[in-house]
Amino acid sequence: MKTFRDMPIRRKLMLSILSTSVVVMLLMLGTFFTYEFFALRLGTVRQLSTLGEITADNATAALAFQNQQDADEILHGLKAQRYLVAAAIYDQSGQLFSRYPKTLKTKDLPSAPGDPGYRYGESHLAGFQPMMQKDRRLGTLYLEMDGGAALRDRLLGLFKIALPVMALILLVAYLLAHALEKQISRPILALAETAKDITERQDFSARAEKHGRDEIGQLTDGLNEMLAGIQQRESALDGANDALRVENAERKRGEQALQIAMDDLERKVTERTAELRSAKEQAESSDRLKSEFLANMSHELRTPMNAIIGFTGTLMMKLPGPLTQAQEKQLSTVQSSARHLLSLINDLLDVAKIESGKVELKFEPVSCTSIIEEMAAVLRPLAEKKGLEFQIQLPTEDIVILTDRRALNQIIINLANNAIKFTEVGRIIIAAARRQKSGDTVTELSFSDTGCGIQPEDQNRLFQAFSQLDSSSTRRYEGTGLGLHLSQKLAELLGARITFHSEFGKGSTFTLTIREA
Amino acid sequence: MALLAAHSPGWCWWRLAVLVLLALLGTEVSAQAKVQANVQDYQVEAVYLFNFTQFVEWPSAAFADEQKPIVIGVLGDDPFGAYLDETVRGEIVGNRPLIVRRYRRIEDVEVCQVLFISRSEVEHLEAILGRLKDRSILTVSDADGFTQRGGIVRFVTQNDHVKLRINVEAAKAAGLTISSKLLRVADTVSAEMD
Repeated sequence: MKTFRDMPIRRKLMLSILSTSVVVMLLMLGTFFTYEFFALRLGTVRQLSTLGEITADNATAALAFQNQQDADEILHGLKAQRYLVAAAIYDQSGQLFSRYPKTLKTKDLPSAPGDPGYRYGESHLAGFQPMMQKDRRLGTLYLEMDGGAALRDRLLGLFKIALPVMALILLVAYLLAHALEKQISRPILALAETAKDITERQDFSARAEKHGRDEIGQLTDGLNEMLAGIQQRESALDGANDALRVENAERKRGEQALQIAMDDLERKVTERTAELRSAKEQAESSDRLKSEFLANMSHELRTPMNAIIGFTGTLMMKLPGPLTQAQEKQLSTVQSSARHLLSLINDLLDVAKIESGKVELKFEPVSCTSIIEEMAAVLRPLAEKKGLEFQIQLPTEDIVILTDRRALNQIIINLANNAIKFTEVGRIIIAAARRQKSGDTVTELSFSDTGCGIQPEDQNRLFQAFSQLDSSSTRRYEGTGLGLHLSQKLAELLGARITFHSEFGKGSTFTLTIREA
Repeated sequence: MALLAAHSPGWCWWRLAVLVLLALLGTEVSAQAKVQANVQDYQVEAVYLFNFTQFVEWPSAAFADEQKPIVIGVLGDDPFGAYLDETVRGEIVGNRPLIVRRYRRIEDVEVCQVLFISRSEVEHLEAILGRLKDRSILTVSDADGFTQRGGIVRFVTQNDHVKLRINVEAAKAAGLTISSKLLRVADTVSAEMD
């Protein structure tokens, strides 16, 4: 069963009112019945006493004049008294004179009259009434009444009346409670309903209806005030949210603008890149065309050059006839110029070949020691002729690398030749070494001289084509100006690199660094 | 019999002894018993005479003043003897003491409330009642036809019981108020009856 605490407030109120009514009613009923009980007891005594007085008075003559029949009649007249169980008349001497009912045995009656007055026995009320006539006592009347039965019947009768009255009172109480309960519960229920509604719909603009100025009314006011507070806060929050939303929109707009700008930029970059690429491709294609042209031209140039050099050599050998000293000198100039031209053409041819990608490389194991010694065999005389010291420093163990022999040979000759060419006094040191460099094993071939060195401002364009150090040196040093450029290009093809270190006026060191495959 | 039983046990024992003796003596005894019964009747009647004073109201004119006693008179031969005197001795009814007076002749009757007219005066009954006509005196007698002749109360013996017969009109004429209770236990007659 539900506990009282969990009951709906309506039932609680109903129960309270009804139980109060019932308790009050029961208390009243109890009080009433208790009062009635004692009143009845007293009333019964009084009633019996009155009855006794009248009967005693009526029977005095019968007693005085010995009329037993009349006495019997008088006592018989008591039969209307419902609860009277016995009556008797004793004469002056205390002898039983008459009794009622007649069936009553003498031994059931007191043998002699007792003291006047009525008193309750176990359940019977009995007593003696002196029979007086003009202040003289003529005898005694005895009356016995079933007081318990009288009381019981009377209370039962009252109860029979009280029961429907009680039912009526309960009904009225119920109806009243029903009506009154609504006065209390309706505002509470409405309040609860409103609160529930607000909670469910989150509608803080709703207000609870006020029914009166009692505590519930105060509660309603409190709720409404709270709702107003919440609503205010809500609207403030909404405002803040709106501001935030606007801010967000602005930010988004900014982002979009940024995106557009970025897209634009990207497009521009793409366009520019495309332009650059096309420009680059154009440049490259024109460069290639130039190289092809040069390759073809060099080949066409070399054929007549061979004829010039060959026939000049024949003349110089004086095979067709003797030559004058002046003729011999002029022929020598022709030969030297022709050789220079040929070498120029060869270099150009090589450069053009490289740049047009027509160089074919053949990778094979090459011994560094042997290739350097071969080079030294050719160039040592040249250096010694200029009075230079020519040193070769090789490791005890041979270094074998996988590379193109011809290209490597050309680079070595070029670098060694340059060293000799640009050194007037001192020495040339050519060294080979294998060392570890940033995790890789590399072979370094270095060419050091004590020549004029390179000025810092010239170092940037050292590897460019047709760039000898100064115009004055062109005359002093024989060369095409293509040597270093060609060497660097070849080194790149081999996966190697040429670096240099130079101090102007003291000498230079060129290093070929070959990474081993 | 109940009244007889009220007497002392000694007397009862004696009475029984007499009755047994009478039964043994036959008719002689029977006549003796009748005399005894008459004596008993007179004793009862003496008590009744006294009791009348309690059930009858006299007009105030019947008494000289408030303190005067109620007088029970006996006219003629007194059948009660000392018993009547014993009965009323010391009794007070309505603040009045009781006294017994005995009269030989009607002329002797002075102030009196109850007057028993003995059988000895039956011959003079008309004259006696005539004399008492305008006086508030309760006349009582056991003479035959007493109430018819203008007497108020007559004792009638039936089945060993002394009964009352009352002439209400005569009582009214005498200015007496007889209690209805008394009338209840008595036979009431009018002058034409009996």
